[in-house]
Amino acid sequence: MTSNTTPEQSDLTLGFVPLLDCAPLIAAHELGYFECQGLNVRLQKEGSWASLRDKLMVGLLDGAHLLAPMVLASHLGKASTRVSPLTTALALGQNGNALTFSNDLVEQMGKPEPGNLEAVTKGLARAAERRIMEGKPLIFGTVYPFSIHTNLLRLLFRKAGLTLNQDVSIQVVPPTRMVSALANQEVDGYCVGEPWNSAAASCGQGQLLLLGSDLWPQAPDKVFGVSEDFSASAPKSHASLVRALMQACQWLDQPDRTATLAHWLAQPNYLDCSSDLLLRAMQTPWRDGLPRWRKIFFRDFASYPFHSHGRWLLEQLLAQDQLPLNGIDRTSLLERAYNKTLWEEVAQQAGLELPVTAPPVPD
Amino acid sequence: MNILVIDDQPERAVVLERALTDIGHQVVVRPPGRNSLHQLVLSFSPDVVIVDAQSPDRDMLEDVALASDRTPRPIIFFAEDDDSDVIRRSIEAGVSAYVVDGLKPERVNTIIKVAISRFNAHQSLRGELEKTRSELADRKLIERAKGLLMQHRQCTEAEAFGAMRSMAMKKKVRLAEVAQDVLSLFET
Repeated sequence: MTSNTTPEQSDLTLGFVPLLDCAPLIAAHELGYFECQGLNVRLQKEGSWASLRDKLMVGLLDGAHLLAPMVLASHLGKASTRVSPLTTALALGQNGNALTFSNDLVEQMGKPEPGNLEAVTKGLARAAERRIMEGKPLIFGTVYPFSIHTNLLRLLFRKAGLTLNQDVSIQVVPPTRMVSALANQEVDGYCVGEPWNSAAASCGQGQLLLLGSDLWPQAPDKVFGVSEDFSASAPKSHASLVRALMQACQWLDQPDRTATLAHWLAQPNYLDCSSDLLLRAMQTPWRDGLPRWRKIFFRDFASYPFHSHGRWLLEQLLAQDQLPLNGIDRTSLLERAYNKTLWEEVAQQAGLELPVTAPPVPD
Repeated sequence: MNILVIDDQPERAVVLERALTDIGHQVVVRPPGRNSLHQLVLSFSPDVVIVDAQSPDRDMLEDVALASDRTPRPIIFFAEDDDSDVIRRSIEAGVSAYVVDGLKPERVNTIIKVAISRFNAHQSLRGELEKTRSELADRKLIERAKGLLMQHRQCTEAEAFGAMRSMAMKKKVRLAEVAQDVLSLFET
């Protein structure tokens, strides 16, 4: 290793929430990719997204598996001057979420064919109307207020002609409690990452009717987030982390990786669940015969921090969540929060192509 | 002030509740694992919420924080310049706090400091307990290994113990680890 790439800081702690899509962190660790970059990485499991954010912002974690909108939200609204906002130079893939509906709701929706967006939205509109008449409006679970999951639910409701907080509402439920919330009728459905959709289906508590990609093909989801302080004080460490994780994303996209991945992720220090469930979540074919998870980690520039994605998510935070912009210029906020320059540098050093067009976003 | 305590460890929550009540606050402790957090916050309208940082309930609180200006918001966004040390220490201790806007920082800090000290005390107590437990387990392991050695080598108790101890010293490992090796050698 030449001195100009020696990381400023080599002992690093990265946080993750136990979900299938933390896979790049686990794979990079298990495959020794961090070590190859001269990094000594410790992975730390966290119980909530809020906890990852706090620890990143005060410097108790160096990097983390994070919901993309959280990085943008850290720049908005009132914030202490003593904590650092967040930034990302690497998306941890696209897609991977699904929508599960309770058996009762599926019944009320007239049992629409899974994956048939028109039938699902029509059925949902009908069921929502009925539930309003009964004085029990539908409630859907999401994993965090600022998340692609919340946005996918909003897209679904809009297609069904439903007004949020009037015809239907969204509540945060931790992923690990989604299935029991569905069973206890606290929610009528939810949008969550795997394996929590397959888990509901396998215990007969609900049905998976839509994949996230049915609402938004190649939607952004998680990113690898660091604080701006870390990125500024240890730019080489940051670049080395991005390099190792990018390699892991490439590894994950190759065929024949699911069994190895399921075996790693099932371990107690990672997801601590059955590897059979993980395999099922990743492999069960959807109606089109493709694997249901259909998470893309690298191909089609799935790890690139597209500003078009960032801008769309930012507009949602401003319009729907009513976070104040406080006079910050949108473009400079995106430049700070979505560091595509670093991605491009790392990719060019590895002889990889750069994207020429941005993927489409919903209207 | 109205303080809501959310903690998956009931014994720690009780201690914290008492400490905060003693300094004159109204405290409600939420039983763990229930999902009606929205309603609880709206009906009790806490000024401060103290929550176990590892609890998945935190993400539900983040949602409640957006409900109105009067619902408690993550303190990390409020921290005044001189509070940053308290915030850092609280996160290290596993305490996260949500506070409503406009409270005097000193009053909030007092509450957070009480929570930090109770969480830390609980942590060291647990540490002590685990240490005692593992010492007891080690002792049992050593006893069993000693018995096996005496049986297989037909030696005295003192000789068996002496053999294990010199092995531990030679290999620079703990006596319990040598005992574990002895057990796996003879018990398979």
